[in-house]
Amino acid sequence: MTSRNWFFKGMTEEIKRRLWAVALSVLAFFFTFPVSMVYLTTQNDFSDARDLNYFIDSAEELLSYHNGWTVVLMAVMAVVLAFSGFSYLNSRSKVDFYHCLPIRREKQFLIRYLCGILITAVPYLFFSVISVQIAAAAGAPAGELMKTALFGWAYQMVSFLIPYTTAVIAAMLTGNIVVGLMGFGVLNIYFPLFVLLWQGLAEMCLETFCSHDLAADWAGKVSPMFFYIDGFDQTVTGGMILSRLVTAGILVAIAAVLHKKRPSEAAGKAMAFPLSQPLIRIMITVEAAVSGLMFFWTLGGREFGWALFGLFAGGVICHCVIEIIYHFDFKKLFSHKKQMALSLILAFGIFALFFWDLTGYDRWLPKDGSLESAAAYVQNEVDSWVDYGTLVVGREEDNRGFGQWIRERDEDYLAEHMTLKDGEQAVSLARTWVENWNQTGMDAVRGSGLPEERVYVLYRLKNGRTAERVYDIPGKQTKDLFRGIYDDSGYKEGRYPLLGMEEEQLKGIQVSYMDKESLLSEKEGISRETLSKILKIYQKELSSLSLEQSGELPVGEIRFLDDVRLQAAEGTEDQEITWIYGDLEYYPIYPSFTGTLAALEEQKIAVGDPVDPAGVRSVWMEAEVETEENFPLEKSISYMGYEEKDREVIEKIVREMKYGPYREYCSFSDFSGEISLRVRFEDDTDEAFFIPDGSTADWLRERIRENAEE
Amino acid sequence: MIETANLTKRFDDIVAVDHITARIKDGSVFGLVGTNGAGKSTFLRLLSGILKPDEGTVMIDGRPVYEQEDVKSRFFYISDDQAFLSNGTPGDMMAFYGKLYPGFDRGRFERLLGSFGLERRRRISTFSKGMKKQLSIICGICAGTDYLFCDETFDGLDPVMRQTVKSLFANDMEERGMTPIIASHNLRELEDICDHVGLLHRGGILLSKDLDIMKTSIHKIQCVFPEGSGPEGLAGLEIIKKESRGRLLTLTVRGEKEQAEAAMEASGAIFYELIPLTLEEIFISETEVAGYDIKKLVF
Repeated sequence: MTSRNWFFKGMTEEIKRRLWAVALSVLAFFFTFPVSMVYLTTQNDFSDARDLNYFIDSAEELLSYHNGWTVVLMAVMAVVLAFSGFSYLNSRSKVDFYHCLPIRREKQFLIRYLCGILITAVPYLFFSVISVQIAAAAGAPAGELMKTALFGWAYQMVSFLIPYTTAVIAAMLTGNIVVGLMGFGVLNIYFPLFVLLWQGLAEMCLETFCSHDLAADWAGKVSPMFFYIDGFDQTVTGGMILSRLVTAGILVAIAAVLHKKRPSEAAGKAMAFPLSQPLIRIMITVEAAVSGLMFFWTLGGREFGWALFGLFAGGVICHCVIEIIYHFDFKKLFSHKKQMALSLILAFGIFALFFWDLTGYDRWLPKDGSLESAAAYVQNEVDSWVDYGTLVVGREEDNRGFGQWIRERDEDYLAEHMTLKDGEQAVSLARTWVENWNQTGMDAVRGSGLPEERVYVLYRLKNGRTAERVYDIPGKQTKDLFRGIYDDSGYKEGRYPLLGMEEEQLKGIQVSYMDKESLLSEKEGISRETLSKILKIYQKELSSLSLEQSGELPVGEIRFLDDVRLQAAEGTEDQEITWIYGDLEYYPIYPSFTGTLAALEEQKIAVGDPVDPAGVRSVWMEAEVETEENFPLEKSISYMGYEEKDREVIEKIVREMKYGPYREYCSFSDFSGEISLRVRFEDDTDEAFFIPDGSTADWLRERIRENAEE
Repeated sequence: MIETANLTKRFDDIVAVDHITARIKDGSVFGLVGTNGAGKSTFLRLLSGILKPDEGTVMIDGRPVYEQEDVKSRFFYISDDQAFLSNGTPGDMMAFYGKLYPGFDRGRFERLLGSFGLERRRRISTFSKGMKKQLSIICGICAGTDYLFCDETFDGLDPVMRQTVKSLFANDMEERGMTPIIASHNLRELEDICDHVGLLHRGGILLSKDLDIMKTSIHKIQCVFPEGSGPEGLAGLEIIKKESRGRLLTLTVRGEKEQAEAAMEASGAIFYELIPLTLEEIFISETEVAGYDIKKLVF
């Protein structure tokens, strides 16, 4: 186009050409916003402020970027507009029509690309603004809603660029709309699936692989669609917007180059670029072969023969299907046999990499002098009771009784916060594992029948890289190996968030023993000095706790509350929200914490008081009991129980029973042989207790065996 | 002037256009003939800048065509399967091309639509194949470009319409020096309109000559010689082909008319007659000389 106004003229013509898409977009956004908003107004009678607040919340949800339906709609629009905008590339006659015109391909691309955005953006913005007016007429604050709507629109539009441009790239890479849609699927699913397979193979083949959730972590980084979806439920930050803009920019550049380089003769073919054909064929075939291998390997009880069958089945079938699609000819299914062979070899290579641990992943240890720092923890037996997360009470704007505990994974928190003072201790632990492995192999370790503990180790290397490993070590050995790490102050500072709490943050203390809870706060007449004193004592005792002491059964629980946590513990004025905080973030009060116990006693808070037998109505007892079978004459173990109502027996039980839920605080403690108790009190409540293994337990086990009904 | 040098285009393993070097002079009608698959359409698509050459160049007045807006605005390409704007009408096409080609003559477009009996507001998708062809020709003629590339343009037009279109071409050639380049698999269609013809086969150009030169330099002579003598004595004439039926000889000879007549006079022939050759016959002769069986190539 030779005129200076080529852009506007081109856009006008393009819009005229795509009137159906405009109509579709208008309809979609009309029903999404104004119709939905009118519907919301009919669902409230606005008789009180609560109703209005509910309406405002709903209206905000509708207009904000959190609206899940809009996210789906935008993704669908992205695909529809991208493929309709560039569908001319799939028809030879249309390619001839457009490419012989005196207008450069860059301009044609720009016009079509922007037109797709415009067809989405304008109706979305228009109806979003109309919806704000509807909500305002119903009494909602127009200014606030407008801000929400405009920001929602802007963020959605920035996000829209990701799937839209990806679909445009898929259209560029292919010459047929069906193959294009498949290509769009491949662009979005291939790499997440690859990571998933990678993780699966690592979990199945490697002993020390520490996955957490590799696939979930990587999905948003390797798939445009996952990246697009990710983040709509979070609070948008400048970084998120920037990352989307940068990603969109890169995708647009790729799409523009592909459009310019795309040969006109590609119209109607499966793949537009000859170079991409073998590349994509091999990539997909490798993935299919590995998938087939894993499926049949698992199904066949990890027999090598089944693995090979799966490899061939997955790889060959996939290769043949791709060939048929590429050529639109069934007879071509065995074309490019060399590429098929290469794909199968590559797939087997990936399997071999894991199966024989060719990279030495499991035996890897940081080289001498290469370790910057390390973190280590036992996944279940030590301190697994610690809660990590953020408590949110009330929304930023209204504080209307909303609360949420946003949990953080242990591994994420510890990776960020734990730094052992002596990182070599972690290396030493790992070295012991590797030496065991070298000498006996894991099968021998497992064959010993000893229970294993999983020890997680994070190495931070001087070159800036990190490495994670998890070691399965027999329990007793773990205790010996881990003792030094437990005594490392870096371990406790990282493991217990409470040790980082400052006096100024402290607003209250909550103590719990069985069903009794006590709250100490300034509102309850407790001075700040007293609160601080208890905190300091507890922090000191926790810091100096030994691994043996941490194996004792606590006498109570305590948690230290900041402002937000105090609100959650007390409940807000208009709503009971204590359930949100529940029994989160409690710390144990071990018998060795004499200072803490004394300080609490000063405040008339007694923990660990014995249960009064008079208040107990009955005790339900359960245990593993040895029984004799009539035929054959062999002994077997059965789990049996019965309800004890004998007062004398109950008194004896109550004198020796321990509070059951506190077992989780006991490090490396073996509770096998215990008798589980459910004590029913006269007030019709009940609690869980237990009798540790010993003479009383043996006696009770005998009573259970005699009295229990099969 | 359009020049191609060593122009080559491959589609996978097929060489559609094979090192073609050609020159198309302004103000003449260039006919491009060949069988289906000979490379005519590919050649035109290369000239139009639709396809990018794998090798060689396409120049219009010394400037490359591919992705050059000002060069591309000098020609209009009518495809063998012309596409139009989706859901477009002739009026939409006029508006569309009017924005793209500065010389587009809207008045003439309206007039020609009327003359051809095409409705301005009717959707093109409801047109018959012939009507679409007519519309594409009207668009091409009214674009006002220096060159008009026509791919099998006469295919699908009735004889009256063919003559009308040829008249339009002739008119534009005379009035504004338009140069049509017409690709066709049918030699008879091009005979009365082309000035220069190029024959394509398997992607290569077999020959490219001015029609007048071809017609004046090759002749068919029917003659009878006295018993015992023959055409061996035709001094200065190159006999391309000789057929005999009894004593009646039919010779195809290369040379000027006067030269042929003088040779025949001097040969002592009892009877001779120069018969004009059709374009088809000229091509048969020329290509047979080149070692090809033209009947397999064109007809």
